[in-house]
Amino acid sequence: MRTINVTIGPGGEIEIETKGFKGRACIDATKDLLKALGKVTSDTPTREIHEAERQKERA
Amino acid sequence: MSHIVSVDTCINDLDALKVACKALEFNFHENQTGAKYYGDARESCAHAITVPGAAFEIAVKAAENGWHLAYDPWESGGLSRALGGKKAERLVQAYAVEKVRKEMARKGYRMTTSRKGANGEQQLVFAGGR
Repeated sequence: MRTINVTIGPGGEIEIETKGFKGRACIDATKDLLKALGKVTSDTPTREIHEAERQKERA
Repeated sequence: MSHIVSVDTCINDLDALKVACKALEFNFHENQTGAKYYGDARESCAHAITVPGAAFEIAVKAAENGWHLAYDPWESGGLSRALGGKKAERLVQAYAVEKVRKEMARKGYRMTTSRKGANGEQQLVFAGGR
């Protein structure tokens, strides 16, 4: 199941973690949300994204 | 898990700010052009927020990318205690919660969990989506 976990700190700092998305679909899923919220301070794709991209390159 | 992003909240949605005020039992005064500071001083603003029990008021001022909250954090004014510090922490957090909820609903997600963490953080989980 695709889920998005959002943690909002006491000062409004937000961390968003996506789960269950395939490849870069997680980036598309949060793109509008990030635009609406404010300034992105860090953006860390995890290993799953890189693996999906490598598989795509091999195919 | 596939993606982790960190964001600093910017207040750019006045409706979400109004909902946040209501959630905290603060009062949003649309078009109140002065917010009470120390003594008889008033800070010019587009809107103002009053907090029950606080002598001072929060000025909502137009900023380049939305809205800026300004207030006198002097302890006797009552705002720093109500807001959790000098950066309107509680209000900014409540605003961010409402803004996230609103944007996620717009994208077809439903909120499955909302809980307060041990360090005061608000944890929200959304599922579904279009």
